[in-house]
Amino acid sequence: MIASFFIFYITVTLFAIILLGIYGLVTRSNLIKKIIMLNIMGDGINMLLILIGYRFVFPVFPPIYEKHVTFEEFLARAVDPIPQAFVLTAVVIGMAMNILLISYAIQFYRLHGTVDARDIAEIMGGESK
Amino acid sequence: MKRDVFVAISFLMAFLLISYAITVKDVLGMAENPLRPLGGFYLRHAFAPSNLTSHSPEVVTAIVWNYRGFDTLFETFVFFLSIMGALSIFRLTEEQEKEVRSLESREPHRHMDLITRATTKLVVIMIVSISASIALHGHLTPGGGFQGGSAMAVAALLLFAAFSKFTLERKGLTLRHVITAYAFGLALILATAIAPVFLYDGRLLQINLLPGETGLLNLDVGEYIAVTFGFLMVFLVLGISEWIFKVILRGEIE
Amino acid sequence: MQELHLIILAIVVSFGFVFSYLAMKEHDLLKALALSSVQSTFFALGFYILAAPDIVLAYLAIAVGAYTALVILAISKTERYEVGE
Repeated sequence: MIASFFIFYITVTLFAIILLGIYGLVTRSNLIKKIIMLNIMGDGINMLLILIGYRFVFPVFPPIYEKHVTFEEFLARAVDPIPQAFVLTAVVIGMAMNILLISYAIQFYRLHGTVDARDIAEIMGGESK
Repeated sequence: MKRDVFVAISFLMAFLLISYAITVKDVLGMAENPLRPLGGFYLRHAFAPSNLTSHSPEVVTAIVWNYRGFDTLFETFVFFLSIMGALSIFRLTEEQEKEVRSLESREPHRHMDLITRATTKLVVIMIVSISASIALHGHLTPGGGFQGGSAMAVAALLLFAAFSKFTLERKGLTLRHVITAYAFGLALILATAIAPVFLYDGRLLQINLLPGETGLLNLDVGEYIAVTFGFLMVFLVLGISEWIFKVILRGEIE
Repeated sequence: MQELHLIILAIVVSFGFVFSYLAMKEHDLLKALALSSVQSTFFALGFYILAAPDIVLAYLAIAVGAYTALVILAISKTERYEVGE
């Protein structure tokens, strides 16, 4: 019971981090701040994915073979390797995406002197207040 | 700041209450989490002696480069495209590059103190050796090309911060050399992907046909080089001071 | 023992939530970046508890090292303070 209580608490908190990231992404107007919040959201999603592959048994093994462990015990105790493989690529690609987004933001600042989304809307001819 | 901390902690209390209310009867039954059949397949076959094996006790690397090799191959191209996108935003023509070099020679020369520089040298040597061991043992112990490459990028950044961009360029890490090294890493990956077709009459990326662990090792080394120099390339371009870019942009407008 | 792991994980995730909330509320971008990298450090600890050593190696180097340096460069080239509403 206590285990499932903590699992539920962790899941709810991770969802809250994801929602926090989306909220910050929508409400903050500075582009760099938007990128920071996007990363927080991505971290929450990655952690949730890894939690899905976790096994709730006591001596839990990472998905790497060892000599002194029998094969049946390894299968019974190793965590799921698929979410880990996905998240590994997601982390690196997230970094590549950050590089692209930040270079857009810097170039926009050089050309127009602002990174505020409201000013950008005005410059680009959208609606403004 | 203090008010924000209280707000965040009261959010957490609310989550605690919600989860207590829901799990008090253990309606979800999440405590037992069985292994999914697909995950079991990979765990069973990654180091098996006979068919469908990938000769690697490290199951994550086996999935990343062998079972789902095409995903990672195209993911490398996504990485390549985003780095090239960043470079093409900051592109410079040849005259502009000459102008940048002449302007950079006018920049004030700054030194960190001796302790910082000596410690940085030591730490950089340690990081380089650790990242190499992470990358080259990637198919046996936790690690691989991505992990080693990102650790190596941190070493380059440390040199960048403690010395300067010009120190790196004096040591031979100019933008052209770095792009060449990046292309070499990508070429190694592509060569390993294509090799089974021509040498062993297999299919693309069927690296099981290569002798022993060479396939996984080559791909890891290629990814290591590609990720390292990809990050370094971006930091070399971003390290040009802002006033130099302003001068060049003004020249472009006139 | 299983419960102990989950309790540590719950604490780590709670700290991550607190620091990401503070990062959202902060108007000084450098401070927000520092808070978000503290959150990243806690998450790296969480990945280790979840038996994912591969991701710890990649995530620590990227989220605490390279990403922070990249955003510091970006802040130094643009503005440091976020304009409030």
